[in-house]
Amino acid sequence: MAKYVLHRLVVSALVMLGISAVVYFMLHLVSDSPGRVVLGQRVSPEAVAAFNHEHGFDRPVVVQYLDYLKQLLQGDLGRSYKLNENVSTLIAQNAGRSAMLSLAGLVLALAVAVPLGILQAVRRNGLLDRAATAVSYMLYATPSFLLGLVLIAVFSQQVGLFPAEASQSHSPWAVFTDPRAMTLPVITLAAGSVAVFAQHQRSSALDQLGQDYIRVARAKGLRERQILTRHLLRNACMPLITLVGTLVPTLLAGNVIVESLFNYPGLGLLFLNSLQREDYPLLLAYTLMGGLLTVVGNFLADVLVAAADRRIEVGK
Amino acid sequence: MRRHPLALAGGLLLLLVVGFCVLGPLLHPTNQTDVDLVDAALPPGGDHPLGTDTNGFDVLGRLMTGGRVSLEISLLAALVATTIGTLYGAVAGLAGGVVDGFMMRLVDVMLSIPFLFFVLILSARFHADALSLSLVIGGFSWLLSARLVRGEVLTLRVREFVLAAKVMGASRRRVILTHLIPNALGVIIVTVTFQVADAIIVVSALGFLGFGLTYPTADWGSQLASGVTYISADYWWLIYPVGACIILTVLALNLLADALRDAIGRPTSARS
Amino acid sequence: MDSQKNLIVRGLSVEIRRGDRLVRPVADVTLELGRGETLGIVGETGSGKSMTGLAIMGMLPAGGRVTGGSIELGGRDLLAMDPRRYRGGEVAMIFQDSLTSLNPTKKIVEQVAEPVRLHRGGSRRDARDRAREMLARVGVQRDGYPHQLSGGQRQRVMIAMALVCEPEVVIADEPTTALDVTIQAEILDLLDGLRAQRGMSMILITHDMGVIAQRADRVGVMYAGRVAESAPTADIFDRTRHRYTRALLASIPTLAQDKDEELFSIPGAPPDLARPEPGCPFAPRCDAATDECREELPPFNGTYACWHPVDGPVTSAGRERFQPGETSESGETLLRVVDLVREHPTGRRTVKAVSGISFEVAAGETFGLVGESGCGKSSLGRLLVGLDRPDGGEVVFAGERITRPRRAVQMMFQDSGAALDPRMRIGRILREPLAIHGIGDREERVRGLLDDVGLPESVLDRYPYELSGGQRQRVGLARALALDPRVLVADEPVSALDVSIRSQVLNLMRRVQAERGLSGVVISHDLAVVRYLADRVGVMYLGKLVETGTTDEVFGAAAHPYTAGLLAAVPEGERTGTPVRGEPPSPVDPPSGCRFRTRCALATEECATTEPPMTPVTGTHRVACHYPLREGRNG
Repeated sequence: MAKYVLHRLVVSALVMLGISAVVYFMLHLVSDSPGRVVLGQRVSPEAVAAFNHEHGFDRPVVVQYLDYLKQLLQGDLGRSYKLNENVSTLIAQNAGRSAMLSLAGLVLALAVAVPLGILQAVRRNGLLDRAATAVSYMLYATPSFLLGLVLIAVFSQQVGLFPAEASQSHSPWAVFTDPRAMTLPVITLAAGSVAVFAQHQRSSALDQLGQDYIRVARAKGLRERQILTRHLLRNACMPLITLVGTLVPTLLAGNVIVESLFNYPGLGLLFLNSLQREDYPLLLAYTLMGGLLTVVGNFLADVLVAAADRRIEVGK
Repeated sequence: MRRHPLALAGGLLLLLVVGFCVLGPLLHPTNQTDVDLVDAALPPGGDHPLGTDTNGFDVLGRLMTGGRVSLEISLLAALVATTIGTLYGAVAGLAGGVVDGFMMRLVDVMLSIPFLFFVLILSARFHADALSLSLVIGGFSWLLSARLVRGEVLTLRVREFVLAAKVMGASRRRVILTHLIPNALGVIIVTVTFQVADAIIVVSALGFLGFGLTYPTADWGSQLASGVTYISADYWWLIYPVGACIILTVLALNLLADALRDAIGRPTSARS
Repeated sequence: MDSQKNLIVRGLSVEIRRGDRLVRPVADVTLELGRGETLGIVGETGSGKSMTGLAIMGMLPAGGRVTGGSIELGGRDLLAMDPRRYRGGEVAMIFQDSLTSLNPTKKIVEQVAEPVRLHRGGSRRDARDRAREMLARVGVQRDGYPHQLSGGQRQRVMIAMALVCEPEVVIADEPTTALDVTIQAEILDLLDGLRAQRGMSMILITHDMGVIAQRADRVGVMYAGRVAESAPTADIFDRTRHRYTRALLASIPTLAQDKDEELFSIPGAPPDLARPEPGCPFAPRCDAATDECREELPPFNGTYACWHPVDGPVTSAGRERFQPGETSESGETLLRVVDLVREHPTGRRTVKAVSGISFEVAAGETFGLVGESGCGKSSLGRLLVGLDRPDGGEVVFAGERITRPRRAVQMMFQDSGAALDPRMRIGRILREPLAIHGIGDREERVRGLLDDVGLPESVLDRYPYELSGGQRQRVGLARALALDPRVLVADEPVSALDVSIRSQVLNLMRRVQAERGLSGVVISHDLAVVRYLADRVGVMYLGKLVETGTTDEVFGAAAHPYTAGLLAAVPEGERTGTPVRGEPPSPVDPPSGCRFRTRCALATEECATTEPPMTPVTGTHRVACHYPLREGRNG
């Protein structure tokens, strides 16, 4: 097991290195030179060149990348010229709130999807299964911002049950301290994932139900419920763990949209604002962080699955 | 088709949407270029079955032209993504070994990059038109099709009927053309369909976030975005009709894709 | 309580509804199982034998229900009880081994302990102790996860799981079908031993007549959901009454029969249970069927259900004979295999699939390769047709080295369902080889091929999935013949087919080969199949040939202990000799010296240090063993 974890760790580090290179070069390719961004459009090309030279932005891009990498390893994410603030400070200010929103959404989605998917598989083609599948199709076809809009229109405008704006508190614990204001954002965030997760869980549970060991368990005289909890659940959840690991980028994108829709001050909103300000150091750092979260997500998922299912270790 | 009522429903729905977007403007011609503030934000009724938006554009007509743009972008993006993905995946799968290993690790790296951020950065930087938007979306969403096609090629490659063709002396070219491609085609078609659906959502998300097409061209996403601004003003006709359009279209595509996937999974029903 | 009969099934009928399709897999089945007795239920796919077992367990698939009859266990009506009260406790079931028959994420002791806690109560610890004890009794000493076990070990765990609560009746459904013949013998011995020791009754469900002959006290032969014949085992074989039983017995190749006599073959295929016809279900395939058979269902009289019963097994009179020896001595060597080596890298390790194999095949001759799974026989087959390149040595055809596929050496695959492109019609499939080689007159040639393999022209417009297994295998043969090859390599040509279909294909292969003067290489794990088709045989063990010779030499007077042990493991009639024990070592790291030494009773120091060379025993009979068996000593 330790060997497998180590192996996955090394692979993850390499992937992360690859990501940093790809992201850095691509952003370099599309962005204006920092001098132009900082000094504005009206300044002469000479002044821009002088600025770039002074700050080392005229060196070959590979050198700049290696430099940036060295900085990163020292925990320095660079500086936002637009906000005149360290990027790491800005991210630290907002990360907690975004993380809590994401986690709340993810937990809610899993809490609904896992039992629902298994129930659907067990009562395959029953009324519940058909209804849940239909709802999943609808949810899947509904972009999250649209769902959020409808929720706002109904529960905020018409019924007045929940506010249309998320909590503006600076505390990361708004999900708990101000649940009324966070209900709609969390539901919006979770809804899209529920559709994906439940259908995935349904099909992997169906897969497992078709395996011979279920029949063997039945032949032992186990009740159907015992078969589900003792044999099916664990095996049927593995593909979902992997899926969640790979879906991190999608979940992050969901955050951007929900934060924008409900005006929730988190990383997503910071990213959108930086887009408008063309604040590249921040955009770069945020994109890299997304990559890192994805790699970590994949790593955790793989290790979790391997811990639960010892075949993986051997297979690798 | 008779065995797949959902596929039939999906197909009909899709036809309806396409017909609405392409033929609709002929039946319901509207002015979608000149701002008319006098007739702005009219509720449905009279000359404007779905009312007008805050610039005075007829909402129904705007749904048609916007839908057409959305569909075009998504279709093109899906074709771009599937073409790149199919070629990439096929090359990796056929080459195998070290080449395959390297190519797929690269895909792993790319898949770990939150691509929506890139699209956002790109569209914020370069004001997008329909063509560039579809190229960008397509250029970032080929990774999953590459994986799928590679997997398909790898399984097909060792299937006994491919081995049989080799024993008969079939050339590599022949094996690829007559056995691999026809058998992988199902997967590819399904992928395109899913990709179109996903692209519609991405395009509308971009539009919603304000980084979609530039005014006055308006896809469904940007129409929805302009509706949001007035959500407290109770202009419901600026939100629900366009929302319904997006949902129905994506739903139709997904139903169709799922049914296609079922159909190719079971060759016994390939002809029904 | 009835002391004689333990389990009595009377008039059992089952139907399964799926959507608007209604199937009756079990119809009016009556069986009796005495205390301590083994009842064999034999039949082909779809005969209802497994469904009968599942019905007794109360485990019918979704949409299935018992529509009539009764099942009594020791005087109690099982159908009136909640099946969970006896299932796994009083009545247990053992299924065919598969990779997924054990929960992959639970350790085996815990899986075996589960029924104990369920039916006996007690603490978790007691249950585990009991499970460990039971596992030790079936020969599994160590706890672990299922993926760490071999197929044979997994089956032992399944047996432990079924017997740990000491059931009165155990139902074993194809318990050894997925296993090699040597392991099959061990598992069956184990089951028999435990059954006798505990005084259990057993229902042994299988398609293998040999297994039945050796292990069952009574036999029920099932066909199309009904019991065709039911009698003490000896009577089934010696005083056969039902025409299906007789035809089935005559169509199975055995190690004892005259191999130059054509196998009996049953025409057609079993009926579709969704569309029942009136009359005897076997009537359409029966050569003695009359109008009465076709119109009225023969009642089951306790022994058989047939309007025109026979008395005793079929005699060989009137069956066609192949001309023996005519082809095997026609002389010149066509295919020569020299020191062939093939190693597949898998991850960091290398599987030594083929390790220095040499043999020759003469024109018109058929060479058979036998061995257990993993011995490298299929890898060898791929090398012969040029699908893979050898890592050492060469395959020489008519003086030329084979490095890639060639027209003159063609292959017939195990499962034509997989070997025929699912998106092509049969016509196109058969034209493909002709098109590849630019051969004209394709339509005419294809018709000729169909004629040769006995298929109607109407199949040309069909897709592979629309044909039956036997028909597909004929298409596979026709395609292999399309290029007029001189050598036909057949890898497990009938293993995927049902017993009654096998003989059709086997006979066809022999006839076609004789007509065309074709050389053949037949690869199979089934000794009887190889014996029937081949003139000469090579026995493979872990990538090496251990014995070669004419079929009569090798099967009649095996000189290698492995060959003898393999033959002794085949379940057929009387048991003679000692079957090979244990499981083969990994081909990744084969034993030094003689690779068989780890399982050989005769092995000495020398076997571990020196690899025995191939040395002649008599003229054409060669063996690689330091201590070859002399004729008559074994086997």
